[in-house]
Amino acid sequence: MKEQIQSSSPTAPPTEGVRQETKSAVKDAFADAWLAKERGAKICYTYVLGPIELLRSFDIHLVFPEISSAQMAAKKTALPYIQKAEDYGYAADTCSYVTADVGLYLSDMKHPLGRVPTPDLVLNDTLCNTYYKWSEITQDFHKCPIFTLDHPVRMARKNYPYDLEALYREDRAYVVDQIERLIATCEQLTGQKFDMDRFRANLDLANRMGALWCEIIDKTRNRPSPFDAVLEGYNYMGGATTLKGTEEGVVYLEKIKGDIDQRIEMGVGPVPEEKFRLLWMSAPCYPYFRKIPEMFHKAGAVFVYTPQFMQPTRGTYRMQQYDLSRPLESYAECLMDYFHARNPRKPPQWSMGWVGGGGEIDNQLQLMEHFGADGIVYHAIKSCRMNSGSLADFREHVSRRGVSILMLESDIADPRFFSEAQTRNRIDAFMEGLAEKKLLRSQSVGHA
Amino acid sequence: MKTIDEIVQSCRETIEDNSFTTVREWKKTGSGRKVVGYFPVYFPVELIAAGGMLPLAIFGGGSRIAVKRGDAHMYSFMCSICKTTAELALGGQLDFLDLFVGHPICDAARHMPSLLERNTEGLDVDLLYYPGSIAADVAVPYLRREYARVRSLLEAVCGHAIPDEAIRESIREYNDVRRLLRELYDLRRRSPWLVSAVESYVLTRVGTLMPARDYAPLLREALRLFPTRDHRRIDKIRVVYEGAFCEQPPIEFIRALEEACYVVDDDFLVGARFLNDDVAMDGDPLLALAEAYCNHSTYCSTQHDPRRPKSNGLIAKCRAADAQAVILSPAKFCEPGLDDQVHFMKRAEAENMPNLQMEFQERMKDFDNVRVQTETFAEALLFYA
Repeated sequence: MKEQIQSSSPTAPPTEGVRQETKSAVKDAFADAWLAKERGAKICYTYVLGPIELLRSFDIHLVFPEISSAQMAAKKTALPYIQKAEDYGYAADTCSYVTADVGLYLSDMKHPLGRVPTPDLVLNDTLCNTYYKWSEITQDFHKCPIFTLDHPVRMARKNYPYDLEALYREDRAYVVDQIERLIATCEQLTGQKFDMDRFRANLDLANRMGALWCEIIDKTRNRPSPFDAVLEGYNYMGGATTLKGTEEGVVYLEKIKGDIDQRIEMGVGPVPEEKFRLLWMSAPCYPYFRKIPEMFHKAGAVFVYTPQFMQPTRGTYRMQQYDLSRPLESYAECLMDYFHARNPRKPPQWSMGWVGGGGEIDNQLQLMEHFGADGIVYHAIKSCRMNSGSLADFREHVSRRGVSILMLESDIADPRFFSEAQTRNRIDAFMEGLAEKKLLRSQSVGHA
Repeated sequence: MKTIDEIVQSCRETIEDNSFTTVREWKKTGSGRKVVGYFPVYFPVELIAAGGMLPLAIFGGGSRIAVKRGDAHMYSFMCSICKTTAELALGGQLDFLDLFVGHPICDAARHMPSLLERNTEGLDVDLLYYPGSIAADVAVPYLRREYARVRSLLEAVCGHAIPDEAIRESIREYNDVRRLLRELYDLRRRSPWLVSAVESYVLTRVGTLMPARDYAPLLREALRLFPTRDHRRIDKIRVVYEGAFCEQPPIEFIRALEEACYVVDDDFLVGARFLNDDVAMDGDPLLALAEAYCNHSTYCSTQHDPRRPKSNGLIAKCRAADAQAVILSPAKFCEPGLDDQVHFMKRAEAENMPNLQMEFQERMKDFDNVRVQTETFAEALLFYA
C-alpha cells in the first residue's frame, strides 16, 4: 500500500495526510468489516458501482471484491490466489479479479490485508456480465442470497421508431421498482426500517463528493498536471469509492484537493519536466502499478485523465447530481445514465462507451482537447472484455483522426500477462514517435 | 425423394455457406422481403417472422473464414464468434441484412452492436436487453415491454404493423418447430445410433436460416426417415455435451467426439430450443413470449436465475438422457462458459458423474487431440470404471 501511494516525484509536496486517509479507507476495510459484524451489522459484497448510498442507509457493511482483488494485485500477492483458483478448475482466460477472489475463498478468507468476513448478501449490478458470474460463484461458496439490480442498456440510433423519452421513463420505473424491492430485502435482512431522510443525507454526501471529485480530476488541465491520473488518480479513486456517501469521504476528497492545490501553487507535478500529456483508457495493470506509468514518466509523459474517473461519482460528473427532492427516481437515473454511456439521450459522459450511447469517437477527441493531451494509451486487459473489447476498434477510428495511440496488453491482477521488456520497447517507440511528431509540428509552425 | 443422408448433406452445405446464398435467394424471390439478423443465444424469432421477414441467427464465420479485419478491430482475448461475425460484417458478407440485433449477454457480446454500427455503413443495428435476473417479479412485465419496443423496431423495418394475430400465428408455427426439435432430441436420446449428434446439429442449425413453414416439413421428413435406417447399436459410452450455447464448435469436432461416444444430449444451438414448452397461443402474445423466456426456458450460462442452480438443469439433462458422463467444453475465451464449467464440474463430481473438460474454438483445425482425449476418457469408463 505504501509503495502504491507514494508520489512519483521528489518535486511534489508531501501528501502524508492523504496517504493515511487512503490507508484507513482501503487497508483497514476488512478490520472495520469484522468490527461491524461484531456489532451485528450485515455484510454485503457489492461491486464498485453498486448502490452504496442505499446500502449504507441500513448500516450494512460493504465489502468490495474488486478492490480486494486489486489490493492483492498491487501488493504483488495475487498470483498464489489465482493459481489456487486455477487448481480448483478456473481457466486462466477468465477475469483475474474473480480468480483472485476465488483463491481467497479457498484460503479460508485470508487476504494479505486481513481476514475477510463472508457475505450475508451479494448485490449484483449489471455494469458488467462478469458480475453475474462472480455473484453466482460467491453464492456457490458462501450460500448467500443474491440481489440483482438491473438497469437496461439502450442503443443510440439515427432514427427511433419508438418513443425514446417514454422508454426512458419506463426504464426508470423498472429500476425504481427494483430499488423498492431492494429496500424491502434490506429491511428484512437487517430488521431496520428504511429511513428516507438518512438515504437522502447519504445522497447529499455523495453529491458533495461528486462535486469535489469533479474539481479534482479537472485539475490535471493545469500545466504541469499536479498529479498522474494513473499513479495517483487510481489511489484517490479507491479511497473515494470505499468512502462513498460518507462524511469521511467528503473530508478525504477535501484533503486531496488541498494537496493538489498546493502542488499547483508550487508549479510541481509527477515529473520534473512535463513534456507530454496522455489519456489512459481502461484499468491499470495493478501487479505493475508503478512500473508502467514510470516508464512514461522517464520520457516526461504524464497521464492526465482516464475515463474510469467517472467511477467514484457514478456518472454524476458533468452536471448530473442526485436530485434530493425525488431520491429514488434520481438514484435510478444515475444508475441508468452512468459512465459507460448507456443512455442514448445524452452523449457519452467523458467515459468509454462499449455499448449503447454512441458518439464515442467524438467523445475521445473532446477529451483530448479538454485535457490538452498529446496521445492516448489503450490498455487492453486480458481479464476484462468489458473494458477492452472495443479498444482495438477505437484505435482504428481515433487514429484516423490523427491521434497518436499506443495499445498495450496486460492484465489487472495476473502478473503472468505482463512482459516488461516488450512493454518498455513499445512505450519507448511510442514516446519517440510522439517526440518526433511534436518536433515536426513545432518546425512547421516555425516555418509558417 | 431424398434419402436422409442427402437431406443432411444438403443442410450442411447450406449452413457452411458464409455467403448465405439460400438467404439471399429467399430475399430476391419476393418483393420487399427483409432479413433480420440476430446474435446468439436467443431471440424471439416469432416477432420477426410475424412481420413477414426472415430471422437469421448469425453464428460467426466458423472455421471457413480467415480473420483479418476482425483481428484489427478486436483485441487478442475476444472469443472467435465475435471476431468472425465482425469479419463477415466488415467484409460485406452481411450486406443483405436489413437489421442486426445484438444482446449484451456477455462482456464480449456487449461490444458487437456498437462495433458493427461504427464499421458497417448502412447496416441498421439495435440491441435487445433481457432482464438481468429472470427470477425477479419485475422481469416478465419488463420483457413484455421490451418485446413491444422490438416490435416497433421490426415494424419500421418491414414497413407495416405487426398485429397480435400475426404474432400468434407465428408462435403456432414455431411451437410446431420446437415440438419437432424435441422429437429429434428424444429420438437421439433413445436411439443415438439412428441419429448422430452431427446430424441433429446440422438439422437444428439449418432452421436458424430458413422460414419456419419450410423448416417444419424438412424436420418431419427427417424424423420419418431416421428410424428406417438399418443402423445397429454399438458399444459406446453415452455422454452429454455442455458448453456450446453461443459459439459453435466445428462439425469435425462433434464428429471426433462421436467416434468414441454417443453424444445423447447437448446444448448446441440452444437458442433454437430455448423454450421448453409450447408458448401460449391465447391472450397477449408478447406477454406469452416474455413469460416463456423467464419461466419456461432452459438454463443457460448467459442467463441469471437465482431460483435454480444451472447444474440442476445439467444433472436433470444427464439423467433424462441416461448419460454415463458429461463433456464440459466451453469455447475459448467464453467467460460465462468457462466460469460455469467449474460450477458444472463440481456438481458432476458431487453426483459421481464422470466428466471430461476441454475447450474448443470455432476456428480450430486439428481434432486429433479431441479424438485422443475423448477415446481415453471413454475407454477409462468402458474398461476401468
